[in-house]
Amino acid sequence: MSWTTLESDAGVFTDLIENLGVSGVEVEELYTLDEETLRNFSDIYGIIFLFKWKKPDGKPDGELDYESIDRIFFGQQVINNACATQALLSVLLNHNEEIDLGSKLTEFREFTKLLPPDLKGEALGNSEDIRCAHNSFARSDPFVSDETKVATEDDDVYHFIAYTNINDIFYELDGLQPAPINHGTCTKEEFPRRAVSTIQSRIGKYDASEIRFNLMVISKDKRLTILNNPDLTDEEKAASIAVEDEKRARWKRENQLRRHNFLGLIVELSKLLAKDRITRNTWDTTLEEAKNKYSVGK
Amino acid sequence: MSLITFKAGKLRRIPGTKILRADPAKGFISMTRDADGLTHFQWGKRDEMDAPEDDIVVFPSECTFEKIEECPNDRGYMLKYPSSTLSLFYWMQDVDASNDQIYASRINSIIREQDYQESARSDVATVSDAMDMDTTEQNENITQSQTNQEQLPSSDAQDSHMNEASASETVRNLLNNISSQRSLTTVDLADVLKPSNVRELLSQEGAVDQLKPYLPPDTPATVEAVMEVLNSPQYAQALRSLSQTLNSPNGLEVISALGLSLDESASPSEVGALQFLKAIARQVKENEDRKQQ
Repeated sequence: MSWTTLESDAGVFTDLIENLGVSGVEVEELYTLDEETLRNFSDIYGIIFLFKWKKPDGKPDGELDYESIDRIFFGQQVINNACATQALLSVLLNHNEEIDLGSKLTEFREFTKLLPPDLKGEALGNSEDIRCAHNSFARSDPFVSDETKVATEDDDVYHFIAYTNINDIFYELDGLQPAPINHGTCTKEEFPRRAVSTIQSRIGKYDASEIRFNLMVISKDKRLTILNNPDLTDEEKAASIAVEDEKRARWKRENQLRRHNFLGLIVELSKLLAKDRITRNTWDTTLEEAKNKYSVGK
Repeated sequence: MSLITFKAGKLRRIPGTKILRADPAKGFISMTRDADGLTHFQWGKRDEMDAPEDDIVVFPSECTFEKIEECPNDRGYMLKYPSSTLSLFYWMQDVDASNDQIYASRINSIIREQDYQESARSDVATVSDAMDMDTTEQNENITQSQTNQEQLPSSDAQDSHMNEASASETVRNLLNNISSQRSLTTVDLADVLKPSNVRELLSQEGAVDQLKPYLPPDTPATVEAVMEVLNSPQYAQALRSLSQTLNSPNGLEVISALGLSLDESASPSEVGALQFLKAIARQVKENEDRKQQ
């Protein structure tokens, strides 16, 4: 039972959670970490911080809160490739009262409620539904050789941390820690400011050259927020929703391309090229040029 | 063209002593064949493999790849020459130590049997099984290692691997073997099929229709829409990946899985993506001949 690597892309993650049955939620990438940018989102459920991790972390900033394990969903990171999916669920499953989770995730939450963190992580790893939704993004290269992977991919481990407010307490959910980390009380208003400073101090622990990361915000679907905004006219609403719809259409197209197996197209294009060059008597020169280019390039 | 690549670090001699110390830098050992058919043993840092620190032409009679017996954690290996000044020392960086011997024997068979097609066919299962793992770095196991050498390295040990005497012997060997050495050639499929090369083909009558069944869903059957697909990062990645796979020891497998038969008139030194293109051309010619009958 294997889990594919996932591209850290907002369109991929949004599609993933929708496949799992979640509605009214979107994931958006955060390119600048500041309060103002965060305040542009209404109804932030959480922020996930995904990074390639090179060294063991030092002591965590806040306090390990073992008692909270009974009250919130916290699973330990069991499968590396599943970590982005697990990060998303860490936020979503803790906001089940605000979010329509759909039946699959509601059941999963109920089923794992009484399990300790390590078994929650295991349960996620064993969940057919979650794994299938995750793996639907596997690149359709039937012949990707593992040797090529060894030669070109670096082997850093992925690590995720989710930051979310639960019952007005600011929690850091780190799958490699034994328990959630409690950063103290925090209102919904204060969340953007607290999140920025906590994440910045976290980033500060790493050498800038050593760390590559993604920040994603999990929030209410912007289109719903726009629709329900009493301060906007109908024309303004329509215009803003059109922008969002265009973004969604772009994501949908990218995901179609991600899932598509291009082998057939490549073979057919090769045939078109060969037929054309053979007809024009330039096939041999085409191949000669390509051969020369290859050995020069090496 | 890489015949094998796996994770390894260097063991460097502490100057003036017989002691080897593991350099923590992450690297690869790689065996490649160059355009002249010569086999190279290389070690370099993982992001510097286009200019590896060690790059040695190896011949069957000269060297072997062996475990260092005296290494405490059992993962030291050496490219062993009769003269110890020429020997090079490495440590395995794979998390799974049980693969070490597999890599070592593969290296030795590549050195001994400098015939690309034969070694690819017989060893491809072992190599791809060995490579199929989820690996992470073992940072903790960096150790010092002491070796007992028959000869003390001289204090002004030579950096260059081949001194004059052995170089001329190498050339003699090369000339003697030249009839059995083959230059292997291939192409970069991603370059041959790049969008700018393919664009004019699309305007030809019937081209887009021929491609239609293979396009991603919701793609209109127009030249513009097809070009958009060909210019997408997802397509570029798939094409790159296929080209690399064709040019790896698994290439033949892919060609036959596609139902293509190899062009018998093609030279045996033409491999990988080049072999693929020749097989395609052969199929195209056969289809044309059939149509005219």
